[in-house]
Amino acid sequence: MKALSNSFRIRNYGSEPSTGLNNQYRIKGAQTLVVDDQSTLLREYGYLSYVNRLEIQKLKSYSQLEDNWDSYGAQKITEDIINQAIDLVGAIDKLDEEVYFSSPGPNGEILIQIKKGEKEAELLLYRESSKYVTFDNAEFAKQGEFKTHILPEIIEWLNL
Amino acid sequence: MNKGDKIGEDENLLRRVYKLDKRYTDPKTGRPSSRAFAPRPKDNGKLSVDIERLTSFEKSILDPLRFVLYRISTTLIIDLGLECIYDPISNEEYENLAHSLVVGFKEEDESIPGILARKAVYITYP
Repeated sequence: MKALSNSFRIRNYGSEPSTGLNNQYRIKGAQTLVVDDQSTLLREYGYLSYVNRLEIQKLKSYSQLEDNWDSYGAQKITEDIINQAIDLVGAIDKLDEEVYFSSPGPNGEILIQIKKGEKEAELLLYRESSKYVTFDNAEFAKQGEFKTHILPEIIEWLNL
Repeated sequence: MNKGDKIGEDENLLRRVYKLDKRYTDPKTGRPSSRAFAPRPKDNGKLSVDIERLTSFEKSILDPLRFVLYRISTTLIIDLGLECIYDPISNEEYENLAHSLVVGFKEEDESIPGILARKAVYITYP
């Protein structure tokens, strides 16, 4: 079993990221410790990146949308879909990624978009099903049924 | 052109997109979300558009405080395996002789709204 003598519990900064890195960390009580390539960094349970926390706040605000919220017959976003979307943002955060954009849809769905350079993934949560579509340089790449367990595969593709 | 006629290539279509609170707009780029091009329940899986040459930006946008316009070509629509059908509206309350419907969306195909959103051209109006 690997020794964890050089492991640290870390947490996100509470302020807005300023370096362009997805997630920033600080070491708790690490005045005398050195973090190197032998270190195991553990994210503190329950902490989300600033961007993902903001996205969750945005998702929660979708509960305020009533039927016809876009004046063209858009359906209300149900609590169940909102909670699914919040869970998905949590899963994305655990993979050290950030949501690029989210949007409610006219059919009661929620779009969660992740973007890395010219690659984009749209994750679509509907009442009955979930789907994903990927784009590379604004051109369609792939689509399919979305399940949380394929999220790492999608993120790996985005980072290729 | 008669109601129900297929619209051929080389026409431009205008899609009105709700802009209040920017829920259909990527705030970082100003580009529309794919959700702005997703068929909605009341349209029975069809996407409502106007034929550009039969209208004006002023007429098509209806309310520039609430909407913006995007242009898509019928060539793109046809390339995606969809069709555009002329569907003028004329009744006591409302008339839109440029109105048309993009049809042929398949429920299992989620790529189309995203492709349309990425190819749509923003109309600067007013």
